[in-house]
Amino acid sequence: MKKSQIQLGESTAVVIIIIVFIFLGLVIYFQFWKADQTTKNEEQREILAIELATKVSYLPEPHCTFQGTASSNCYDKIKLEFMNASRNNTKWRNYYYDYFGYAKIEMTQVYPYEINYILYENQKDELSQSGQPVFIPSRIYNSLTDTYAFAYLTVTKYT
Amino acid sequence: MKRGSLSIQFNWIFILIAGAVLFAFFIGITMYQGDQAKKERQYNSLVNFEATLSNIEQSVTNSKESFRTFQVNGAEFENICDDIISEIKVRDSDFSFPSTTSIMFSKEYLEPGSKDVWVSNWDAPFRVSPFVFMDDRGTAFIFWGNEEYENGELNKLNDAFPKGFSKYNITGPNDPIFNNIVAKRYVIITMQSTISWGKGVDGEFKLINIIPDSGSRFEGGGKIDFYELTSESQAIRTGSSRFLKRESVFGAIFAENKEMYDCNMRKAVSRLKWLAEFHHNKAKELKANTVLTDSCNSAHYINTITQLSSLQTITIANMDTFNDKTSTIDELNADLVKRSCPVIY
Repeated sequence: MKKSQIQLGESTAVVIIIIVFIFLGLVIYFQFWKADQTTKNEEQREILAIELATKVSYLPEPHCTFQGTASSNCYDKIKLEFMNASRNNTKWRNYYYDYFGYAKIEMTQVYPYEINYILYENQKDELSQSGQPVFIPSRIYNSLTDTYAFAYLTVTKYT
Repeated sequence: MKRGSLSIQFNWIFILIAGAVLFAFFIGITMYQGDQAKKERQYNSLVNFEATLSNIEQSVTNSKESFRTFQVNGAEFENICDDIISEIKVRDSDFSFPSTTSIMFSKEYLEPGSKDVWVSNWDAPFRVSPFVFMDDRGTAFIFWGNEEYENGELNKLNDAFPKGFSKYNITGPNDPIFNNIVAKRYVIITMQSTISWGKGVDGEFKLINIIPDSGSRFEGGGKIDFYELTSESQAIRTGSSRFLKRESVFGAIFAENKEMYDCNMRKAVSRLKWLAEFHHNKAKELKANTVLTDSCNSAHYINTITQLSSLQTITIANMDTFNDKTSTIDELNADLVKRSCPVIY
């Protein structure tokens, strides 16, 4: 009786030890998986920011157009002024939410003089900034004086 | 039974139970991983599809149109267009991305396989949005009419279609060419005042009848009738809509049905109204600030401002009547170019 009880105890102990090792293995596996997912989330946030910058680049509203053809990286000054003036309008923000979500898009002119236009801004307080903002060099065209200015577009995505 | 043999039996029973539990545990893990792998595949397919659609729309930023073929793998998609929500969804799953800002005319369900995609900018008269036309590779586009029909308008419509599509010309349902066409899906396009089909068909058939307004062409404005063809030789009209510019005609050809066409055109018209307001504000600004010269002064913007203001009343029910207005705005803008005045667009 004693011998069989010992044998039973041994079998139980072996099974328990195997389960513990399996459990430890799973815990380590999930730790690695979690770290991998965190890296992927970071990459995904940066991709979202770049996608948003690309979307802004091809939207016709702020761009210079010459008889329907949009010019690359060229923005119309009058349109930028209008967008800057309208950005706090609820209707405006709701309309562009479908395009940009929670983000901030601004155009900063650096030469011949500095001036900043905020084209769109929609941020929830508790949301964090998505990685680094994306910067795109651009030009601003003034159709009234037929002159260009140097500028850069800043796109910040909030998640 | 001896105590020893009884304890051995219990030992085996215990081992069997423990083994079964471990086995069930591993099976559960495997099935969970399998399920996760399927979801990951669906999600990756969706991400690829979204990226492809985005690239397709951007490909016409500096050009009028483009055509390509791409492969849909890993999942079947559903193109949902609704006034409340528009999205592209993986069928039988929760994965989706919003398509509120995309104007895509296609079948409702997009099965895995090769797809032909054609993108063309809708200019009414300024750039409004790229229209995406998508269909299965191998769909037959059949132009029903003759060369002289409607002053060759049907021929011009045929020529406007990229060569990558399978296009056919028939004079009627009894044309030998029609009997020899083998395709997964058939879209018949015509421009007739009344439809008399008279031939039973078997398969996925759709018929579109384009009726330009008097004095207009398929590149202008008019009416579109949607038909279904039956095995009882009937052409049943399922609905009518309006069109403005050729891209909306193409949209009617590629849309699954009138409802999808109307939904996408509502999105397009809403965007047109928004941009009309945009350009209206720019025109007012230019009128107020343009340096006066003999060839360029504020009077040259007054008519454009009026036309742009009127354009903001467009709807899908009356859009065909705005063809002349859009042409006028285009002419006025071209006139500004000739005068070296700041242009509206």
